[in-house]
Amino acid sequence: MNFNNIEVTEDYGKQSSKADIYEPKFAINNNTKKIYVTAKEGNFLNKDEILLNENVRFESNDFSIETENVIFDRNKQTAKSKTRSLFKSKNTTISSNGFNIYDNGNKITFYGNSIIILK
Amino acid sequence: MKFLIKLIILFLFTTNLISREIGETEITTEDGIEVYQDQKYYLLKKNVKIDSDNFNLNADNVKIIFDKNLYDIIELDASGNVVFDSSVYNVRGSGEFLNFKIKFEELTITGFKSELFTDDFEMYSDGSIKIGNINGNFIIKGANSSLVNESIFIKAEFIDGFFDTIDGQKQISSLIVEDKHISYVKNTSSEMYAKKINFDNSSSLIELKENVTIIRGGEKITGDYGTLDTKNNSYKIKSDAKTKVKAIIQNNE
Repeated sequence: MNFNNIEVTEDYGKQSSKADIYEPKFAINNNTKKIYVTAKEGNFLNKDEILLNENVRFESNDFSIETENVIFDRNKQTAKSKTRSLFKSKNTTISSNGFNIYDNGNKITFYGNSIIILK
Repeated sequence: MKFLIKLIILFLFTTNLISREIGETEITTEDGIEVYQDQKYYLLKKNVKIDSDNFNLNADNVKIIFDKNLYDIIELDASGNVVFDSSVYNVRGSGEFLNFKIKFEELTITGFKSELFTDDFEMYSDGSIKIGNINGNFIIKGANSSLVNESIFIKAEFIDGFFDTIDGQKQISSLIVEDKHISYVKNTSSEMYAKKINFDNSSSLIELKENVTIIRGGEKITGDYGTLDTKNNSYKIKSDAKTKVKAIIQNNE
C-alpha cells in the first residue's frame, strides 16, 4: 500500500455534520494491485491520519473488506480498524474484530476472535 | 420485553454472522489471523479449531500455506497440543507438532508423546511419526518409538516400513527396524531381539542382525545373525568366529 500514490476525491460541505469529507474515494496502489477504498465520511485526525466512518469498503481484484471505522496513517502507511470486519475473497470469508493492512497491502492482520469459512 | 427481544436478535445476528455449511471448512481462532499474501501463507493464532466434513484439528497455533487463494491449501503446520482426526484417511492422532502435506497426503507428528492411530495400527514416539497415505510409507523414530496392532508389537528407536491395503485392511509389506541398543519385535509366535531387524512380506522372511535373540515356546536362542520364516514358522541362527550360538531349552515338566 503506497500512500504516496493515494488518490483522494472529496466532497466538502455536502452535508452539515461534523465530518471533514463526505463519500471519500481512495485508490491505493502497490506494485501488483490497486485497492479502492470508499466510505460514507471521513475526518482528519492529524496530518497523517484520516478516520473513515460508516460503510467503509476496501476492494481489489482479489478481495474486499467491509467495516464501519478505519484509520489511515499516511506516515506508517497502514490502515487499521477495530470494528467488526468482513473479508471476502474467492471461496473465502473471514470475520474478525478489526484488521490492520500493512507492508504495501501484502500483509493483513485480523484481530481477535476470528472465523474463516473456506468453500 | 423489547429489550429481551433485541438481545435475542443481537445474539442470533452475532453468532450466525458466518457459519459452516456441508462441504465447507470452518476455522476459528481466539487471537486473530495474519495473512501474508506474497509469501502465500497465513497464521492462525491461539486455540485454533478446524472443522470440516472429513478433517478436524485443534491446536494452539497453525500455519497454513496456500497455492493461489486462501482456500487453496497445500500444507498445514500445527503447533502446541495438537489433536486431529481425518476420516477420509482413517487416521487420528496427537502430539506437539503436526505437518500435513495435503497434495502428498503425508502426515508428520513430532514431539513428546506423539501418537497416531489408524483402524489397524497404533504408533507411538517421543520423536516423530510420519505416514504417507499415497505411497504407504511410515517412519517412526526417536525415543520410546513403537508400532502395535493385534498380531505384532515393535519397539525400537527407528522403524521404517510400508503398508499395503488388502481388503480394506492395512498390512505391513516391508519393515526395517533399528536400535543402537536393541530392537524388539513380538509376533503371535515369537519374541525377537536384535540391533537390526528386517522383514519382507513377499519372502515371508524376518532377518535379524547383531545381538540376536529369538524366544519361542520354551526355547531361547542367541547368536549374531538369524532368519525367521513366518510361512513355515522355522528359524536359523548363526554366529561369527568370536561367539557361538547358544540355545536354552526350558524344561516345562
